[in-house]
Amino acid sequence: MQQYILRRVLMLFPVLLGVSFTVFVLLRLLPGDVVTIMRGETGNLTDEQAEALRTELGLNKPFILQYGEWVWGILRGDWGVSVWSRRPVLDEMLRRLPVSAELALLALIISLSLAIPIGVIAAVRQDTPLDYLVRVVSVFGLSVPGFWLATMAILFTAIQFQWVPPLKYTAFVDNPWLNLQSFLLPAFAIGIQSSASVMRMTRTTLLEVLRQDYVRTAWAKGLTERAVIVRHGLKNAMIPVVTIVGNQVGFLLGGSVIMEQIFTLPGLGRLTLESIYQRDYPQLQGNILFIATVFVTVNLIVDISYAWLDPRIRFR
Amino acid sequence: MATNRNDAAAVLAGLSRAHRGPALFRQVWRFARQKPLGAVAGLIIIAIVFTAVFAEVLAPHDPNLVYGGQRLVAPGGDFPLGTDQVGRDVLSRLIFGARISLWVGLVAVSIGTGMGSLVGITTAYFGGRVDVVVQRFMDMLMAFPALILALTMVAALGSGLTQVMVAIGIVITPGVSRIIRGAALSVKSNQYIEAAQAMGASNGRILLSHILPNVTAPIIVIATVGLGGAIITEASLSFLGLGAPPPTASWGGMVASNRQFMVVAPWVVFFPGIAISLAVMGFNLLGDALRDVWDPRLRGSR
Repeated sequence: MQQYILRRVLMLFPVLLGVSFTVFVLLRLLPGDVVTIMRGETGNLTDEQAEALRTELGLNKPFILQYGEWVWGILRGDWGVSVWSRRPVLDEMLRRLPVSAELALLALIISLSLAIPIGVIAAVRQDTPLDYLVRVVSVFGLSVPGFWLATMAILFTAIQFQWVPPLKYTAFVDNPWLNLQSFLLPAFAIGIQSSASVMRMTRTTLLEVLRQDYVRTAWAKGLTERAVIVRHGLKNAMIPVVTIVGNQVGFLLGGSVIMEQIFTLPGLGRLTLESIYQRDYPQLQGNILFIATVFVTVNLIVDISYAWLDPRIRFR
Repeated sequence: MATNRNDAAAVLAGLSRAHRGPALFRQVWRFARQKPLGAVAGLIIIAIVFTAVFAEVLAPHDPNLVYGGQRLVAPGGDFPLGTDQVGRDVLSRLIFGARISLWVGLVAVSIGTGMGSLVGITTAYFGGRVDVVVQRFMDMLMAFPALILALTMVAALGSGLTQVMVAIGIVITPGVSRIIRGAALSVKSNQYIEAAQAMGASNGRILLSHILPNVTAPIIVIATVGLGGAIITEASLSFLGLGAPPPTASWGGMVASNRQFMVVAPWVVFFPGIAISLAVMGFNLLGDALRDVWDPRLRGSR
């Protein structure tokens, strides 16, 4: 097991190196360079200023050297400086991170606490009207765009309860109640959406497991329904569900961009979007590398827990 | 020998041609009876495609025509679904919006499944170092959450419809390549591939006329489900202001630009969302049904 973990963790480094290279190349695909674009849009940079900015950003150095310096900087904790806020990229990211983390966590809690019980009930009561209802609702959940679901949620609470989420974000430590209020709707919007696929996965895998011989044996032993389904069924059905939860983290990270934009939450997703609008490339490449790193790491943890749950995988 | 084979092929081709009409009809009918939900989804899609193609005829108004003094008119009368914040007919904009959604989805999915399938079958067939290198590159692309990768691509390429299509296409590619590679690997182990190699067929010929035809079922399933995903992604990007530039009618853009007025005029955000959900649900359900019928092994691959 330790060997497996070590091997997987070591494999993370080439992947992250590749990811950083991809981000770096992608953001340099544009015709001309960042400075040319900023000049075209703001129109108030003199030639000297433009040249100074190029030197500052290291744009007149060879491509591979720029990349090397960027990666080397990241390893030392220097992610560069935002051309918009003039603050270090890393500081800005860390300042915004707690908001996105809280949103993702709340959404995940909502998603799982809806998806797993409902998925189990649908599987146990297979082909009853209840099961059909769950299946139809989950397909609908996969098809509804998140930004629209969130918009409808605001509209509904505004009309029905005359309540809108607070316009200004408050940190949890300052006022937990106000803080949770601003997360309520976005967390539900992403949580409900993400629960659709987790629910489907729980239902299908549990159905498969419940057809196994050892489940029949468990029934034959006279175990209670609860023991059969939870201990013999659900425990074994959880493995694919864990994988899909790992995938959902990517969905949450993407969804948070939209939700933070709609609910004006000062998180990482909104920062990413702002840096796209403001053409703040140092900030943007830092953010994207960070988000991808989180995603890859979460999936690594999922893979490891998968191997821990199912010893067959370790020895493959 | 060669002529014999050609004759046989010609006869077979003639046979299948003669039976294609009724056979296709019978197949569709059987599918509809087996998978009623899939058939309903198919009808939804046909209706949306029809709307998009005949938008000029079906739309009661010009989608970009501003009716001065008729801002945010409630549904009914001259404007069946009301007007938006500047006084344009919502229904007509929805009808023309179908065109954008479908077109972007179709092009993006063609790019994505095209490249993905190509990568999938070639890496599966050649194996070895090519396989390892290309698949590692695909893993790299999969290290980004889908919407984040799409956003990055649009940030790099600039906003606009063409860029959105390319971005979504690239986002789809690695997932497709992985599934098709798996399918192609099992096709590759068949004896007829070995037979074709023994007969001296070129690699290109084996790939295109022996492997590709045998992985079309999964390709069509992925493309169908992918269309739903592409439509949502396009709508999300348009919602964030990175898709079709205004005043083009796009479903995502309609929700974004009218959001401030939704409490006084809910219809301006309600109907575009319904349109998106309906279209995406159509493709999801059809994809699921096709998968169940053609390739149950793919179940749960999403």
